[in-house]
Amino acid sequence: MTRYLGYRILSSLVVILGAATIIFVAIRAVPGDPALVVLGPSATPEQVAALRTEYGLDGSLLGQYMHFLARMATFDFGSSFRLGMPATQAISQAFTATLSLALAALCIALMIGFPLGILCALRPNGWSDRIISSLSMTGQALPSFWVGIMLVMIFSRMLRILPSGGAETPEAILMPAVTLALPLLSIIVRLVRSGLLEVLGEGYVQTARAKGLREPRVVGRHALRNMLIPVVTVVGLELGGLLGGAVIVETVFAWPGLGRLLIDSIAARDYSVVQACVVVLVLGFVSINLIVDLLYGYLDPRVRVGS
Amino acid sequence: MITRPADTLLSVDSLAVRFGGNEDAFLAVEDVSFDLRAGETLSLLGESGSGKSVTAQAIMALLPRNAAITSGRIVFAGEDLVSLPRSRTRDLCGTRMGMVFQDPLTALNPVFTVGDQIAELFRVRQGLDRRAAWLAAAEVVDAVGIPDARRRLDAYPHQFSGGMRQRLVIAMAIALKPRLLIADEPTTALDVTVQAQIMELIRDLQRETGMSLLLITHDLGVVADVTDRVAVMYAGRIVETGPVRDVYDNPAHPYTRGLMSSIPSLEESPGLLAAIPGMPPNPKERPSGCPFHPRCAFARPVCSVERPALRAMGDRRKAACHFAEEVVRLDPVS
Ligand SMILES: Nc1ncnc2c1ncn2[C@@H]1O[C@H](COP(=O)(O)OP(=O)(O)OP(=O)(O)O)[C@@H](O)[C@H]1O
Ligand SMILES: [Mg+2]
Repeated sequence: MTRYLGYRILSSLVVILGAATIIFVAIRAVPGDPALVVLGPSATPEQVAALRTEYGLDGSLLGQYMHFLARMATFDFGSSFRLGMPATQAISQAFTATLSLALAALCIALMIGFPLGILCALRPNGWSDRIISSLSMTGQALPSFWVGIMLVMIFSRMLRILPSGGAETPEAILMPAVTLALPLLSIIVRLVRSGLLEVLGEGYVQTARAKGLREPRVVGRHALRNMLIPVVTVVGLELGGLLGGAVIVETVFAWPGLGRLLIDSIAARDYSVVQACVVVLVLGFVSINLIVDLLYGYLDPRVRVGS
Repeated sequence: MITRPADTLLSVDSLAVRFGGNEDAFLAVEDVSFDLRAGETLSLLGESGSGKSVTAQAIMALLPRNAAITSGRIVFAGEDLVSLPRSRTRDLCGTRMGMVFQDPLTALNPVFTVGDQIAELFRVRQGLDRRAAWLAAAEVVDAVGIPDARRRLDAYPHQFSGGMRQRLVIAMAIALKPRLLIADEPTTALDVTVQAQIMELIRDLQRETGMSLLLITHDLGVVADVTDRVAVMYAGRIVETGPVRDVYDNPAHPYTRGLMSSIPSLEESPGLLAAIPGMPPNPKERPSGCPFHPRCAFARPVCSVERPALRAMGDRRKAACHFAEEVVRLDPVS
């Protein structure tokens, strides 16, 4: 188990290093000098050169890269050209905002998706199953920006009960979270439904019934626990997509998260913040995968290593 | 009305089970009747698809969603299970009747320890606390011959061999001392060497507890040793029933005769199975008249027209063949 964990952590580090390298190169491949963007077209060459020195952009590319890696190891990404503060400070607030948005969306997707999926599986092809299943198909096909705009139209323009954007009031998180949750929720409904249907045909479910256990216990304990194994795997993979979806949803709802910060920083060629955002997002992604893997071993004793 | 011995525990009467919806519906079990007395063993024999498992599922209220009992009665300890709500029958499962399934590899839940699964019976059905249930579980696991039972309770099913897993399934089935044990091909999925041990175990447990046993099997060798009476099923119906020796030595139905001659005897070279020619009929298009007639060596014109009733042959036997009296007088098969 320790060896496996060590291997997983090592490969996660490789992924992060790779992502950091790619973004380092990619952001520099985008035309536009950050010093010029900050100072504007009327800047003198002396001013530009001074700023480039101040932000460490005057050395060779390899030198800059080594410097970037060395500082990244201590979680220091340099300072933001645009905001005039350390990049880590700039992203820490945005990170919290994105994390709460993603967690809220995950909670919504799980808390609604599981019961609906179970409901479908208990009466397959019944009327509730047909309605829920077709809704979930639709829910997955709708683009997030469209859903977001529709929600704003209904709840902000027409009913005037929710703010159309920002994060000033606690209820402001509702619409972006629902928008972000919708595709994941649809996937969960269908995964839970098919997973449970499959598991309900298994021998051990018959055994549980033959023991005289009541149906809620048969489903809730014996079937559900086995159904979780495939569901957790897929949900884990989809969580990565949730981070990606957050970028779009944050733009629609002006949610002050990593996605919006990333887009604004790319526009301003704010290298340090862009690099910090990407590294943090990738770090989040690999941590989720690691957690899912460990959870998987916990849920399924057959794959537990070293037992 | 037929009078039944006072100690009849289970009495299945004209049972019919239908599968499927309107167009593709078919009867998997039709007009099946048999009695089982306290402590007695009855074997249900028959080829694959003849309706043995469906009969067992009907008794245990374990029929799948697309199946329904369309007629008949299942009287268990004086109560008609067919007219009871499913939840009431469920209450009898585990406590009054237990079931052992064919495939021990899938019959145990892979994500719970075996102790957990067995103790659950004592906790949920008898209200024992965690500790007492665990001790009780250790006791039954010990009783089914698993060495070092106490320690093995913490293991997961995949850590046991097939034979050991079947012992665990049996432990669950008999844990609450049911009066009826239904064993649906309990040895089919096991190694030959283990099969005998499992049958031995079931017999020993039956002897100790005096429970009745409904044994479903393909294996005629097993039947001869443990059973009192046999009922032979073909295409959803019982075609012959009687005491095991009588049926074995002088089958009264050509299908039974065919089954008997398909037992590989030790003298013959293995692989020389005189199996019954042809295939069992598709349940959706069963032949007219006697369902066995297309495969029957004794078939005559009347067989394709008129379905033979299951009629008495002497006081303890029944057979559903127009020419049962002739068949029974043929030379013994082996
Ligand atoms: N879940 C199901 N859905 C549809 N048909 C079924 C189902 N289970 C059983 N049947 C049908 O019912 C008939 C009887 O099946 P059953 O399982 O009782 O056979 P069996 O005698 O136990 O055979 P085996 O020796 O293979 O276990 C078969 O024709 C089978 O196809
Ligand atoms: Mg069967």
